Formats: sequence, C-alpha cells, structure tokens
Amino acid sequence: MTPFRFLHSSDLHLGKRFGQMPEEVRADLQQARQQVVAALARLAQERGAQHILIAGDMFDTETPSTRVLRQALAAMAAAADLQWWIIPGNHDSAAAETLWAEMAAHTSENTHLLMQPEPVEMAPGVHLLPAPCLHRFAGQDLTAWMDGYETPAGNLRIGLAHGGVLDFGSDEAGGEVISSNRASSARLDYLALGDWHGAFTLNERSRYSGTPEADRFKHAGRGQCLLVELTAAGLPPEVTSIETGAYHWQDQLLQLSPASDVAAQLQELLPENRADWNRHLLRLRVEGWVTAPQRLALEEAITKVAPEFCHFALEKTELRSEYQLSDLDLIAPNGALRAAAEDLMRAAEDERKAQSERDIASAALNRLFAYTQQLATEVDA
Amino acid sequence: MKIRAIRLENIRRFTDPVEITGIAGGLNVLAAPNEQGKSTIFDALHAVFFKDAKSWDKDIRALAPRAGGEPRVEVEIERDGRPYRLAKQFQKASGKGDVRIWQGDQLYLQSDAAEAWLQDLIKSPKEGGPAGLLWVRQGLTNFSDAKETLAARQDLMSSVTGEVDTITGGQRMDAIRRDVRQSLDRLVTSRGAKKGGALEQAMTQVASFAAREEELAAQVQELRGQLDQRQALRRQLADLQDPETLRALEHRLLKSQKDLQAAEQYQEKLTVAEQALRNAALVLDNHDSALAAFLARRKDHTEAEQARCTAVGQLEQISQVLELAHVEAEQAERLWEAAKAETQRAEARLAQLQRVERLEQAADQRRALQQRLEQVRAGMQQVATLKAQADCGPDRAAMDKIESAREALALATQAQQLGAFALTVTYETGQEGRLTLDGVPLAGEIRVALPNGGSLEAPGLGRIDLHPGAGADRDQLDRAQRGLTVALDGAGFESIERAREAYQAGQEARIRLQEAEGQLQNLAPEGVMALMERIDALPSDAMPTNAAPAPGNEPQDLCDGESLDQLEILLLAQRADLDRTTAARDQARLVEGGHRLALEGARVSHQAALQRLERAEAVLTGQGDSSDRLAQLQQRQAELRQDLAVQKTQCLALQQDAPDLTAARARAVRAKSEQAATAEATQTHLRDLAVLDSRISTTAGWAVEEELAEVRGQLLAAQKQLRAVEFEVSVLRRLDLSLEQARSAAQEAYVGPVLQELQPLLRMLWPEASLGLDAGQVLPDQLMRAGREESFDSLSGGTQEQIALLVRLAFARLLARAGQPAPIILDDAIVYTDDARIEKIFDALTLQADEMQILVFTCRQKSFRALGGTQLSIRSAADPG
Repeated sequence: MTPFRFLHSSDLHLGKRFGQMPEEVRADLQQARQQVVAALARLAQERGAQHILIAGDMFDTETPSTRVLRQALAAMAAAADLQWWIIPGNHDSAAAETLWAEMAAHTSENTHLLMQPEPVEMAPGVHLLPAPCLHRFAGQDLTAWMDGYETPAGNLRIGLAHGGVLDFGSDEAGGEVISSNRASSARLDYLALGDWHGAFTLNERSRYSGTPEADRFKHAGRGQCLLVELTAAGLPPEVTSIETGAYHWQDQLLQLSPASDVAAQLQELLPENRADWNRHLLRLRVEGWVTAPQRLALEEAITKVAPEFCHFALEKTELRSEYQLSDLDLIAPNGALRAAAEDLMRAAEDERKAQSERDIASAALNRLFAYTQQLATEVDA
Repeated sequence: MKIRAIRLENIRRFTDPVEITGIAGGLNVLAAPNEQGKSTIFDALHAVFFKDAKSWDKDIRALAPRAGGEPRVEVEIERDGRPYRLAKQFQKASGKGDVRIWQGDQLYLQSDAAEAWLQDLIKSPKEGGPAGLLWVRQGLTNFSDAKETLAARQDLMSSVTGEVDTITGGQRMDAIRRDVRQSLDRLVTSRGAKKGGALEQAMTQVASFAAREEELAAQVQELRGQLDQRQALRRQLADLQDPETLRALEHRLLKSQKDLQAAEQYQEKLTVAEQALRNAALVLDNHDSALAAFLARRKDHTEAEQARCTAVGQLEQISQVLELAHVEAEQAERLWEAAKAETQRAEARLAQLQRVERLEQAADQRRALQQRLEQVRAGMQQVATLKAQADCGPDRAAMDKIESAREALALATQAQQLGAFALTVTYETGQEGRLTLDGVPLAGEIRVALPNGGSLEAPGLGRIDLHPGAGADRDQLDRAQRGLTVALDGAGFESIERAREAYQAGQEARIRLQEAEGQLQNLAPEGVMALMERIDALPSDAMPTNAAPAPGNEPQDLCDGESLDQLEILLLAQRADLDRTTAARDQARLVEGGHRLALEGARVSHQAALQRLERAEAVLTGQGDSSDRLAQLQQRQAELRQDLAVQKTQCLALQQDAPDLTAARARAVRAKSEQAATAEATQTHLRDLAVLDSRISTTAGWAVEEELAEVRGQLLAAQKQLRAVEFEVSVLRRLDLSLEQARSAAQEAYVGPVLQELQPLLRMLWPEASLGLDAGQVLPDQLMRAGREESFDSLSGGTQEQIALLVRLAFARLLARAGQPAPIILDDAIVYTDDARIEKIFDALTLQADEMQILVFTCRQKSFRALGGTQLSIRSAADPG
C-alpha cells in the first residue's frame, strides 16, 4: 500500500487580534496568523501530503470578520491539489451557524466541512472519523462513537477531534473529556487532536499538533504542525514535527541575587541570532533579590536590547530590592540625601507597612539611586 | 578625635615618605610658601577618612604621583584618650587597596572592619550631619590662573557651600528634586491628572477601552441572545414541522370529526324518542284535563242548584222588610210637607212686610232726586243764556287786535299833529273864545295842530281858511285809520267803544257761566241723564220686586200690627221644624231605597242562579249519562298512563347510552384549532427566523467577538499601563516627600544651632552685627551691621572669607558640643583679610583652640606668625630630625 501522508494542524485561531500587545506588534501578529493557511498549503505541497486535517478552532471566535473568513477560504481554494478536512472546535463550534453557513456558502470543492460525527472516506481505504464540537462546551466525549464504527479490514482509520483528554487538562476549561485511550479502543491508526496550542504526544497514535502560529508565551517556540505518514493499518504512524510559525514566543525566567552579574545573566538568556530578534516575542520574568546598582544595571541592559525584539515584556513584580549601606553610601554618605535614602529604605523594609507602600518606597529608593548615579556619571564626564 | 601625626608616601610630589608630627591638641600652624604640598597633605587626609581603600576614582588617581606609584597615607590619631595609627594603601588594581588600624603596636582592625571604624569616627552625632564638614578645603590660592582665582573669589563661600550641600543635599538634591517635580508636573497637577499627560492619556485610554468593551460586550450578548433565540426557534419549528407530529395532529382531527358525527346521529335518535315521550305525556295530560273538567262541571251544577235556592229565600225576606220601610217613608213625607207649608207661609208674610218698607224708602228718594233734577234743568238754562252773552262780545284776540290798531292810529295821529300846521291863540282879556275853529270855539294859549287845515272864524272879523299844505303825512294816518276800521269790522263793531263794551259784557258773562257750571256740576256730577236714570231705577208701587211673593202665596192673611221681628222669630221656629222633618223624611227614604236596592240585588242573584243552573244543566245534558261518561274517562286515563311509562323506559335507555356530544364537539373544535395554531405558529416562526437571520448576519459580519477580544486585550494593556503610570506617580511623590522631609529636617537641625554658635564669633569681629542665614541653603545671605542690611554677595572678598571662616568654626563648635569634636583644617582660608582685621580672626581662632584642634595651612608666613600656636613643618620621614 502506498503510504498515506497528511498534515495535522489545529488551533489556527484566525482573526485573533492580540489586544494586549502594542499596536505595531498586533498588526504583525495578525498578519502572520492570517498567512498560516497558505504556509500549511505550501508545506504540504513541499512534503508531498495531499491532505490537511484541521482539528478544530480554525477561527478564534464564532463570528470572525468576513475578511478573515474569506481570505482563509481563498487560500485553501488556491491550493487546489490539496484536500482540507476541517472540524469545528470549541471556539468555532458547529453551533456557530452563521459562521459555518458562510463557510459552506463560499467553500471550494477541496474543502470539507465535517459538521457531524459521521465517517468519511477521504481516500480509497482511508476512513476519517470526525468528532466535531457541536457546542462550545461539549460536556461529553465526542469520540466515543468511533469505537463502534467498523471499517473493512486493512483500511486506515484516522480520528479527528478537538478537546482535552482525561488526566491531561485543556487550554480551555470544560472540554476535558476525550478518552486518552481512544486511539486504541477505536482501533485508530492515528488520532489527530486539537485544542492544546503546544505540540503534545499523548501516545504513539494520539497527538496534539499545536497551533501552526504560536500565540502565547505559555507554549514557547514557534508554531508547528505534524507531518503524518501511515504505511499500513495497525502499524505505528511516522510523525514529523515541522516548524511553521513566523514568530518565536519565549518565556524566560531570570533569577538574580545580590551576587549576580546581571548583564551577563541576561545576555545568556537572549536568543543567539541577534538578527532574528525582530521575530521574537520575549517575556522576561525577573525574580529574586538585587541591590540598587544591580537593578540599575539590569534596566540599562534591558534598555539596550529590548527595542530590537518584536516584543519584549519585562515582568519584575517578583524582583525585590535588597539595600545595603554601601548602596546608600553611593547615594550620599551623609546629609539630607542620605537621610532621604534611609527613610525610603526603612519604609521599603518595614514589614508592618502594606506591600504596596513598601513597593513604592523601594521603587522610590531605586529611583533616587539612579538619579545620584546619573549625576555622578555626569560629573565624571 | 585629634590628629597627632601625618605621613604620606607616593602622594603627588611626595614620592618619598614625608611626615608632619607633633601636632598639638589646640592651634597648629603650617606656614609654608605655595607649592610646598600643604593642599596635598589636606587631600591625603581627606582620602584617609572619606575614600574607601579599594577605590581608585579620580580623586585617588589625582593623588598618585605622575611618575607612578600607589598612594599611601598614615595618620596617628587620638580617640577617647587612646592612640591609634591608621594606614591606608590605595592600589590601582581593582579591590586590592587595604586599610589597617593599630592600637599602640597591636593591629587593631583591617579591611572592611577598619573602614567601618573610620566611618564611625567621622560620623556625625546626628543623622545626616555635617560629617566631613571640617575636612573640606577652602583653598582658593591654588589657582595659578587669575581668572580662576577671581571666579573662586566670587564664590568664596564655595567651601562652606560644599559642606552645607552635604547637609542639605545641596545641588544634587536640587537637581533630583527638580527632575522629580518636573516628572510629576508632566503627569499630575494639584487637581488631578495633567491634561495631555501620560496619566491622563492612560486614564482616557482605559475609559475609552472600557466603554468600547462594554458596548461590544452588549453587542456580543445581544448576538448570543439572537443566536440562542434562533436555535430555539429552529428547534420549535422542527417540532412543529415534524411529520410524526403533523400526522398525529391530522389523525386527531379526523377522529374527532368522526366521533362528532356519530354522536350527532345518536343525538337525533334520542331526540325522536324524547319527542314521542313528550307527546304521550301531553296526551295523558290533556285527558287528565278533560276528566277534571267533567268533574268540575258536575260540581258546578250542584252548586248552581244550591245558589238558586238561597236566592229565592233572600228575595222573600227582603220583600217583607221593604214593605215596612215604605210605610214609614210615606208617614215621614206627610210630616215634612206640613212643616214645609207652615214655613212657606211664614216666609211669605215676612216678604210682604219687607216690600212695603222698601217702597216707602224709594218714594222719599225719588222726590229728592226730582227736586235736584229741576234745579239742574234751571241751571242748564242759565248756562245757555250766559254762554250766548259771552259769545256776543269780541274774544280776547279780536280785542287785542282792535286795541293794537287803536294805538297805531293814536301814534299816527300824534305824529301828524307834531309835524302839522298848528296855531296858538292868545286872547286879550275878555276876548276869550271869540274865535272858532270849524265852528268850535278855540281856547286860548293852546297849541292846536291843524293837519287837515280848518276854517277859523273870528266874529266880527271874518273867516280865515287854513290849508295844511303838502307838508303833512297823511298816508300813515290813513293806514292806521284803515287798520282800525278793518279790526272793528272784523269783530263786527262800528266803534271801538262798542267793542270795548261788548268785550267787557262778554267777560262778565263768562265769569257767571263758570259759576253756573260749577253749581250744575255739584247737582249732577254724572250728568242729567244719569240723574234721570237713577230716578227711573227707583222701585214704585206698580213695579214688582225680587222679594215679591210668588203667585198663590200672597199674604192674604197679613195682619196689621204683626211686627217684622215677631215674624222673623216665627219663621225661625218653622224652619227648625222643617229641617227636622226633612231629615226624618230623607232617612226614611234612604232606608226604603236601601231595601229596594237589596231587593233588586236579590232579584238579580236569583236570576243569575237560575241562569247558571240552566247552563249547568245544558252542559250536563249534552254529555249523556254523566256516570258512564266518568267511567269511560277514567279507563282511558289508565291506558294512557301505561303508554307513557313504556315511552319513558325506552327514552331512559337511549339517554343512558348516549355519547357526550358537547365533549365530542369540543374535541373536534380543539383538534381543528390545534391544527390551525400549528400552521400559524409555523408561519410566525418562519417569519421570526427570517428577521433573526438578517440581524445575525448583519451583526456577525462586524466580527464583534473578534473586536471584543481585541478590545479586552487592549483594555488589559491600558489598565496595566495606567497602573504603571499611577505607580510612577506614587513613586515620584514618595521620593519627593522623602527628599522634602530630609531637607526640612536638616535645615531645622542646623540653621538655628549654627546661628547660635555663630553669633559670639561674629561679635568678635563686628560688635552689634548679626548674620542672616538662607533657610534653604543654610548659608549666610546677609550681614546686619551698623543698622544696615548688606547682602552677602555685596560684601568684600575679605569680609566674605572671614564670615566663611566663622561659619565653619560655628559648625565645629556644634560638633564639639555634640560630644564628637573633630579637627578643623583651614587651608589658605584667609587670603584677602587685611592685617588689621586678621588680628581679630586670630583672636577668634585662639579662643576656639581651647576647645578644639585647629590646623591652619597658610602661605602667609609673616602675617600668621602672630597667630601663635604650634608651628608645624613637612619633613622627610627618613629624616631622623
């Protein structure tokens, strides 16, 4: 039998607008997201796959804009040599009648909207068993019916579903009920799953492809899809993960202590290829305790590199300042400035005060430190 | 603390070790020319106490010799009566510098512990105090450049300024505060967020996104609601259009209609049976009525017979009673007639008497009236006569007319005579009257007008004819004459005298006429005819009167001498009797009439009873034998009752099995309406769905959910940004507050005490003078002396440096009083002060040296010789001397 090859993707979330991002970043991310359909098509053509399975959440909402919807359909229609097999996910469930009616009205022949849990022979001897989300919250295992469906011996059985699995957890609460044993119980050669935005192998035959274009820091890296090849019924699938995302999302933790070389530690965390930083979204969570000079050094170091990134989010709510007398000496050995610094330090370290008040005092002290150092630098200059 | 010795190595020009030893506790003077290293010694001392041994900053680098080498400074001090030796070795290699402290020969402390000991040594007794204040050089004479010297001179207080800067935070504090304030100003004002500032922008953005989010959420909710509604509608429509449901509906309708038809047919059958039952009941009812009528007729006949007998009895009884009553009535009639005749007679007699009396009265009255009539007639005659007399004379108008004409004639005559020829005769005595005029003797001495001329005769003399001539006016006179003639003719009189007489006679007749008429009026006010009628109206003997007795009732037996009163009394008695008999007669008549009526009634009743009996007999006679007839009727009644019972049984049986027609009808109606309602609901649902489809399609096309997700993200980001800006505001405010408080505290802590210490020193130079300190900078800003206020900048260089020195001494005293005396080092502090003033400065220094250690570095060797104190010198450390 000729190996059956297809691309497994899900969670395209077309139309997602990234409201929390700065304006210019949003535009870039939206654009990249919209182009992911064409990217999948191109990849399938390059890898000799004639089918692309979308395991739900093709759209971010049940009412995407006409522009988003029609451009996606146009991209799919353009790849006329490919067959697209799409099920509704929880974000774009079959209950979104308007969406799917619009899709059905404008879809091309090579696009198959699987709106019912009914098997379809996607190629001779290859049966696709879809489990579309009929509602936003399924409330039941939509793949259960696959166990009882029989196919001729030797034929391939591919399941297509969207939702979390038992003992696994979902990106969205409430869709947690696909049996992790489904591939086995339904005698599936491959179960293509969607909902989890990062790639995840549930077992040999059950996989989450993850989103082809990453959209959050939770799942680090670029988006990807899975190239699946089934050689014969009953044999394990050959699965290859392929990066498809234009943007690299990264969540880094920088743990500091008063002894840390702040600039050096930061440098170690940054991606190697500096020229590629404009395609990186980095969330840097800084934790630990630093002295005022370290804090200043950190801020200076970040100021140097941040603008080169597509997006650089610094989270330092867990970063605490440790004040030493020598730091205060750098502000002023004595006099009113010293008195002000000591007042702020006392307030920052006073456990009887509210944390917010301490944070403000701490930040004020850091600011005073920065001011004095800036003045010293100016004097030196 | 007191400094006892200083040793330097690799410090600028002193590449080889040098030292200053023997430094006393009070006043010390190091007098040496410029370029001998006084300032170098000062800088080295400063580095020991204020620079970390590990540092290699520009100050330390400035200490290193040009030829290279690492500076080392050693200082021997005395603290709390114990000697210590400090050695600080600066090294270029980072972090390699070292510091050690010996107590006696024992290494006491080193490295960080030694640094900390040193910090404690110079630490002010008060937080943020003027530590190091006394260690700052004043050096103004080190500048080779005159321009720099001049600049330094202008800022002679710079050393003090530097020291005070430390207290108050100085320029750094100012710069920071300025920046903080500016940053705050960019964000907030006293009333809130600054317009256009980052805070306001963030707030505006949050508000804007929140509003948009709310709007979109509402739209999404509406859309969701519409979607849900549509889904529900579709489900309902599917239910409505479900073939099974529709079939069931149709089946229900057909069955209900069939049931209704069957029920209606049965109902018809039942109706027929019920009608038959009703008919049977009616027949029986009719028969019962006939039987009852028969029985009633029999009863009626019996009763009629009884009534006839009763009527006969009554008739006889009443006839007897009537007869008795008639007799009584006739007797009463007779008595009444007798009383009536008596009464009439009495009345006739009375009437006769009354008539006679009336006639007598009338005759008297007639006589009087006729007498008056005659008087009237005579009066009327007199009136006629008088009227004729009154009418004979002219009336008033005619008389007036005549009188007017007469007056006109008199006037004309008078006018003519006045204008006419006149003559006056004067007779001689005895000759009077001899002359005649027209035959009339002419009187003498009288003017006689002769309008018409005349003929004058003189007897014995002849006649003289006088002619009036043409001068006299005759026309007017003639006209007047004619007028009078016409008036008299009109009235019918020939002369005016006759007219007057007639007029007078007429007037008198009129007066008498009025009197006569008045009299006549009194006699017959209503006229003669009325008077005559009254006379005619009076009764006369020949004339009958109302009271005249009726013919046949003439009072033939009228007796003379019977008085009217007696008659009247008699008549009253007769009338009373008549009344009584009348009542008795009327009563008898009534009783008789009543009995007659009763008799008539009894006769009528008898007649009626007879007729009734005849009718009853006639009815019964037409029915044959009544007993047979009764038996027949009763048998028929029994038959009919049996027939009715049979009909009733049949009807009941039908009623018991009858279907519920009302229910069947209701079911049929319900089934039909259910079908209609289903059809209508289907139509309504389809219509509603179309509307919803349209709305959903419109709203969904806007991608509201996408936009909502986007806006929510933007809102979160904006809120984060707002929090950041708010935090920034809080941070800036907190920093500003701390800086403000620190500066205020420093000022509060030092301004007052420094002034207190300064005042006695100042008085040494300028008695009665006082100094003003700028509260912000804790620096002198004005000097009050000789009643004048002089700003510090306007003082001479010498005065400025003197004040600077005194301020410094005041700070030193402040420290000493706080229990931490520190050496005061004056590096070329007095440069511009003249010799006269310098003495006073020396006095001040000498005085202060009793309480504190003072090191004076000066290049003015000669001048400072007078200062006294311990003289110091810089020596090579290798020099054993």
